[in-house]
Amino acid sequence: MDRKAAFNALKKQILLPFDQPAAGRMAFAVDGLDQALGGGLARGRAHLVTGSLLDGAVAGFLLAVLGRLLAGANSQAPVVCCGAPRGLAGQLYGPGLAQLGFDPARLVLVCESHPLRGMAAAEEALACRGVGAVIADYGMLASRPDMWQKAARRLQLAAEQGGTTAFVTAVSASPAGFETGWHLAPAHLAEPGWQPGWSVALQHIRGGRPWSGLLSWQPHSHRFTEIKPASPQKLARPGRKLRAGRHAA
Amino acid sequence: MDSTSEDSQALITGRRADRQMVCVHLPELAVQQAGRAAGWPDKGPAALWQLQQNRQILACVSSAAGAAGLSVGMRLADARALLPEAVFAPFDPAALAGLLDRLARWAWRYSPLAGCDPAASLFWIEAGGASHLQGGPEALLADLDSRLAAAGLTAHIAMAPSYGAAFALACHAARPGQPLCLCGAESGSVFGRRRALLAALSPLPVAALRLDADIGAGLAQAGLHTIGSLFGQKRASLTVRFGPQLVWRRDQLLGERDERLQPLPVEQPALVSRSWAEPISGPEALARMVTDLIADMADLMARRQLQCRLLEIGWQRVDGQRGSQHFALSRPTRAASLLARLTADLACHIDAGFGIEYGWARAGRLSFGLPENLQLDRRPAAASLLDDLVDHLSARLGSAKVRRLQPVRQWQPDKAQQSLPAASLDQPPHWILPGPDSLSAPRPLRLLSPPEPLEATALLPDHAPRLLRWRGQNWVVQRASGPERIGPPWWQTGQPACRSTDYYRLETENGARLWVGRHGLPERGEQADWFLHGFFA
Repeated sequence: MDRKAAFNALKKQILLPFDQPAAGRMAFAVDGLDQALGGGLARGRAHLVTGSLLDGAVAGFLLAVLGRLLAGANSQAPVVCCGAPRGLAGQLYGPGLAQLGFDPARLVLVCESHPLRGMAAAEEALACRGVGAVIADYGMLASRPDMWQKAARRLQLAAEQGGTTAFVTAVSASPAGFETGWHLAPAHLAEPGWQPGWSVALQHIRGGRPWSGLLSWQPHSHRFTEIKPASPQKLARPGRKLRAGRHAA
Repeated sequence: MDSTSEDSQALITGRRADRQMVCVHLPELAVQQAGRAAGWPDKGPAALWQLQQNRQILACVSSAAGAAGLSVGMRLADARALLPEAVFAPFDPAALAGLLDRLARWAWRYSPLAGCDPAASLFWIEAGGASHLQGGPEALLADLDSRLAAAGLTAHIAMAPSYGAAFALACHAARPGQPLCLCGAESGSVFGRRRALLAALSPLPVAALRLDADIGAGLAQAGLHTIGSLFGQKRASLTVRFGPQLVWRRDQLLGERDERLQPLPVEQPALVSRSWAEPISGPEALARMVTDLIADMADLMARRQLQCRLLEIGWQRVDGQRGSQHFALSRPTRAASLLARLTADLACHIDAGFGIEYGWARAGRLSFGLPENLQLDRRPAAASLLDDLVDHLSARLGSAKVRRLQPVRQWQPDKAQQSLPAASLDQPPHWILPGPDSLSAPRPLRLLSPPEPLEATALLPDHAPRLLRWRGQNWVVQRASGPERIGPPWWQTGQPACRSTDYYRLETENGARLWVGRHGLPERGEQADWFLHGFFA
């Protein structure tokens, strides 16, 4: 009995940082996805978004989530974006952001190519009140599992303390330590217009279950819509397992 | 905060008989300045133009050009036809304002109250109580005129008891080399002086009253061409017909109504220093030096009601070598806590050698600021917290690494935005967001700069491509929209080749959306170079 109590106390101590309730949840207004997430995307947590560099899916999805996350009172809150100055995928382009309804004046870019310094800057930004969200684009750290897990943990703690939502983008990375892990791929929506839309796979979630589907987004009303794929095999890489770091292989 | 600083330093001219306002109107200053910079022939005809509602209008003409018939407000094409041998150049208002500011600072030799009005190409001096140092008002004006003439500037100078009268006389009555003075001792009694003032002002045109354009046109319609014709009119009837501004200006002309002028602020350096009997070294002592200097500086700025946007910490070693470090702030502040946070890492980077015997802190880019109220009821504003974050990150990573996006009015896609260091921006950038029904051409979310060349195969030379090959990947295009044709800036000289670009929005087989351009038009027989310029969401 004594041993069990000690064990429970230890468990509680370990789980202490996890027990803090999320500052709120942002509902996607897509039934299946919200159920899978347990009500919506947790605010004040760190989320991992993976996807190829050679398309705009990750940036587009992040922008859509930010548009919904920071709607209303926070609609002018600045977004701090840390990353290497000029990646393979080019730089964020203000006129394009503006066309999707996101004011580029809210962006503060931290162009730091050293991943550890960049992650430290992201932590600073998370601790700053008034910042709406922080994006850290240092997927190259994922090749060093020890550093990656440490960085993920630090970001998660900073996000919880500051109450600010953090997003980490990578090509492929281990989602351990993050609140959720998403994989994004471009998708055919079989619609006549050029409405943004992606194949979204929620692959990892703490206390939820995975989900995948096609989401399209209306930029000006900040609404997601789920689209049923015309034929199942057209869905790009559904439910593909996240490639874990080298340590797991 | 700017309004409070203006309020605290503004000069209010009112019903004071001892005011001696000097206005120096320099109608050719801009053209003389441009001519000296570019080495145009002296006394030759020259004119500067500027864009007004997309028309090129002359903004400043030299006296030779004026004698040949050119005038301010004329269209550039007409002026070129009238006087082909004249030199024409674009007008630079910022350079003119800078020069007038320097001239007004030079005028501190006559009086500590001086300011400028770049729109009228004029600077003013309030010489009341200071002119006797030059030997009286007339001697002051003669001295001013001879010094400006020696510098080669055409100056129209007038002195009057009110700013409005001095302005009107300088701009419309005074001639170069003949300063007008209406403040002399010989004019006698108050009534005599007023009579002299009325007599001098009456023949001047109503344009000397600094009126809005529509009031000037209305006065011309009513047949009121000179200021003298206004003096006989009733106040009420003028107000009913032309609005309150005309009566204000008439009263300001005679010094019967207050006028608010903004003199140049007098800057005093903010510097604190500490020296030690024994040279100091070691991290703790150096950190103490930095915190002490910052505390002294914060005290000094609080006493003088100043705020700074630049902080320099310097030190001198025993062997005489000096070093310093600069910290830039994105908003004016004097908070010791913020300055201490910025300089937290400094002590580790100081090379003390055999010890430091002298240290100083200097604040730059000062501005006036009232003491802050203690905010007991609400949290500090989010904008100021963001500024603190930007400063902190800039101090840690280097100011070039923290950037914001600024729009640029350019058609060329890669020039339409500019990424600027956030600490250098005085105001947040302003973007115009297109609405949901906007017809603006599509722009990608991520832009490749420079664009990446790719191989493309189109069914016909001027069609959208069907196959793309880039970095070893093959893409089959499923649908395309476009083209959007963007021409090169052909009006700029020195462009090597003028080839237009057609942009297409493509969707590949796997759903990725690309922005692909073709440099060169096949229908003109130009070589077509395909490139990938960005990715859509």
